Amino acid sequence: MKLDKELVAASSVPLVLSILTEGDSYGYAIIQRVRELSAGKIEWTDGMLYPVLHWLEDQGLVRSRWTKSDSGRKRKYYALQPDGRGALREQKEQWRLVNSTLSQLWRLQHA
Amino acid sequence: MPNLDNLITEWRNSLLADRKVSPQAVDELEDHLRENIDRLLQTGMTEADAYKCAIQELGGTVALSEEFRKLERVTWLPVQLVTAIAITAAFAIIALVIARFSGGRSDLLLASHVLLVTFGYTATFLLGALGICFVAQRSFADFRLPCSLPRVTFIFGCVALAFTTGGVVLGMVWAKAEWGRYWNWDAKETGAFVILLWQTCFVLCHRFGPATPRRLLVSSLIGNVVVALGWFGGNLVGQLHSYPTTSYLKLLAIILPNVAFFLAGFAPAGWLRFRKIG
Repeated sequence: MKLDKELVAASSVPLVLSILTEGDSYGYAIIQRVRELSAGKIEWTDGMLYPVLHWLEDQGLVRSRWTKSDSGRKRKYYALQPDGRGALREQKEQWRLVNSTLSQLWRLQHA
Repeated sequence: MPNLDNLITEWRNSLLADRKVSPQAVDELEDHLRENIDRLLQTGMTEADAYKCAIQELGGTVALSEEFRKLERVTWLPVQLVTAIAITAAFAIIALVIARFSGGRSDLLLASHVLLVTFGYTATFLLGALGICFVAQRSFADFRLPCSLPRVTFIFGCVALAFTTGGVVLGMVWAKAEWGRYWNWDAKETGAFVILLWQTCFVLCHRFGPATPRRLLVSSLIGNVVVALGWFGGNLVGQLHSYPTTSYLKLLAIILPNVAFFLAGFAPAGWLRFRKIG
């Protein structure tokens, strides 16, 4: 089963913010983490993550810094900011509401 | 057959040619592409195949450019309105000053001082107007600010600072010629100094500080209060630069709503949203 494109897009912000609560990270590692957690079922076209990261940075929810990777390449790391934690709290409430509403509906329909 | 570095350089150039993706973003994408290629090479693929596969995973250059273009596509109506008002105000102020100057009521130095200072203060007010729109809209629903907003607020902040600085310097030159001193710390001059200080802090925080678009927009309301006090408050004290156009009531009518909006800026998003009871 693969997720709809729209659902993948809608979940991208809470996914990225949640992954960044685990610690600073960079684009490639974020995508690998999503693949790992979803057993490969959430499929992002890799390049589509970057506009999301840049938008989060413009909103002040994350902050980036350039560092050098072990291979000597330039790498941009992202860190969650206090406003990002606030935004994640709001996102969690919204997703939980959707989840509990659907769960109740589907329980009723099974009964 | 082209080697891997040549292929990546070609890919970089095609992304940069579209001008939708910044060079820094291309650097970031290249790091991702190379990570993908390294992983695929470890599975035994040839460089050419690994490159092809990695490009496919990353997304084509057209699709990438389109995604980055979406960042700039969102426009916020208040930004358009405030920009239009700023342009109109600039022309109106120039016309007024020319009329004063050609009518013989003012000399060129004084007229230019008034022109620059008025526009600098107006730009700060317009920045504050964006803050009011932001707080008002956010009080009813959380919304995504356009990515271009930090650039807009930075431009307004810089324009306000540049014009006010120019105006103050011209005013000092005029004061030396007319009143025999550059600066006297009278109420209006002190007000101008505080406004300049505020504008400088705003621009510096914008450029170097931990300022988010939300914090900048909410703090722009303080700018409204500072400019109102510095610009109109000086008239109430009755010193050298005193004009009988301001009353305490008018001043309060500007300051109090701004303070109220500033405080509302700290409330959670959507706090005024209509909620059904029961």
